[in-house]
Amino acid sequence: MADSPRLAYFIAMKEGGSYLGGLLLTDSSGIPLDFRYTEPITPTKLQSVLYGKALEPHLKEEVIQKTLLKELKGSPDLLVLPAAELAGGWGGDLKCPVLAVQKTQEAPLARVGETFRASQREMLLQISEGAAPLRVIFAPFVDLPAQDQAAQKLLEAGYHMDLTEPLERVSAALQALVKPD
Amino acid sequence: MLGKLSNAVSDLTETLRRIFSSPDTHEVNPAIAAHGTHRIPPLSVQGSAPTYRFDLQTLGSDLSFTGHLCDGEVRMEGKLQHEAAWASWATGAKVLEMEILEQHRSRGLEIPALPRAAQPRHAEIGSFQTRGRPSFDAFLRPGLRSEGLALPAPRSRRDLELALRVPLAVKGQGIKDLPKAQWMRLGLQLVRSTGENIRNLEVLGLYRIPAKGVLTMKHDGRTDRLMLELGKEAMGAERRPFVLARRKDDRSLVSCFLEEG
Repeated sequence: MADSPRLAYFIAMKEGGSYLGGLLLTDSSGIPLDFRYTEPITPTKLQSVLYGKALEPHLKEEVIQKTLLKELKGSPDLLVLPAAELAGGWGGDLKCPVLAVQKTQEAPLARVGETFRASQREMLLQISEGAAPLRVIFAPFVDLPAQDQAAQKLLEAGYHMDLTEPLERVSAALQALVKPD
Repeated sequence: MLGKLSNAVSDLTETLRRIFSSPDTHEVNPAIAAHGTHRIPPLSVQGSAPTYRFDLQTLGSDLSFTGHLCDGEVRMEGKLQHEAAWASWATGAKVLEMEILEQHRSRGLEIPALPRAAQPRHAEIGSFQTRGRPSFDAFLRPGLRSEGLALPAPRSRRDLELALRVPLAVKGQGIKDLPKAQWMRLGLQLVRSTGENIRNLEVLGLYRIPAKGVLTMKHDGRTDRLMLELGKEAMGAERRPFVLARRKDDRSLVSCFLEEG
């Protein structure tokens, strides 16, 4: 049980003029182990103007994400982000691999655990028998050996849980925080 | 008797006379009556002294404004001006003398020529004397302000219960791909636990869920997932295989945990 991978799912969202984020740590079955969220940050008008387009990535990566990871109990084995966050190039310096997981409609690979490398940072991973493989996108700093190790952990967790589902839970929890019933 | 008869005759006569007499005519004057003209006397106005009159009375004002001379010093200098052109023109003229009644004496009149050019007059315009006043002080050095542009780290909060309340989706394991021996063992345990005839059961899925701490459970038939709402007891609880089935007769759900091994 001690060796089972711990996955951290992070989402930052913008609500009105404020930003907030949530980090969910799960075990290999997707059961929550810890959940942290930030209070909304509202940049001033001057900050918005001077930071420009760099404001949102900076807030998400440098401010919100680092705060939550620092507060988290224990360190995760994998940090999973929405694919859109990685598309712009994630500049974090975490020790654990940072990646995004997406469902696909690709044809299943031959056997469970098989991978198909689409690029230096992207691979298809067959999680379960007969299902469509998952697309795994890694952050730029994750080298190839680290990617292979991360794929093994994903495979182990994916046997018990839907690897993409916890992100929906983090998003739902944040929505519940900003828009309570 | 005769008298009455004569009266009756006279009445009859009078009656007949009235009947056959011509109707009364009245004379109408056809002439249009001329309207007479009347003289309207002109309106005459007769002045009368008003009962009341208004007399002007000078009142002293409460406020008096006194002018103050500014201290701008202006010196006025008198200068003699000489106009020679008119004098020369006058001296060149000759007075016309009218010699009345002196015949055969005529003399041409000389009209002095106008000055060919006007003599420019030179007038010195006194220079304005002004006194400079300092109007603006030197610009003060602007104060520097430092706006904190760094985005401070937000406060973080921990709320595990909130995360547990969000339904957790547990995907089913492919029961159709299970080996036949394992499938038989699964069916046997299901029948033993629920007491149902296996032919009346439709197995929906095999899931690994926490053995305790499950508060609510809902089956999502579209994605074939179990949506679990968990309590704190679920953290660290053992995951055990769980079978969910539906009775074919009344469509109700039955379930049981399976013994591993």
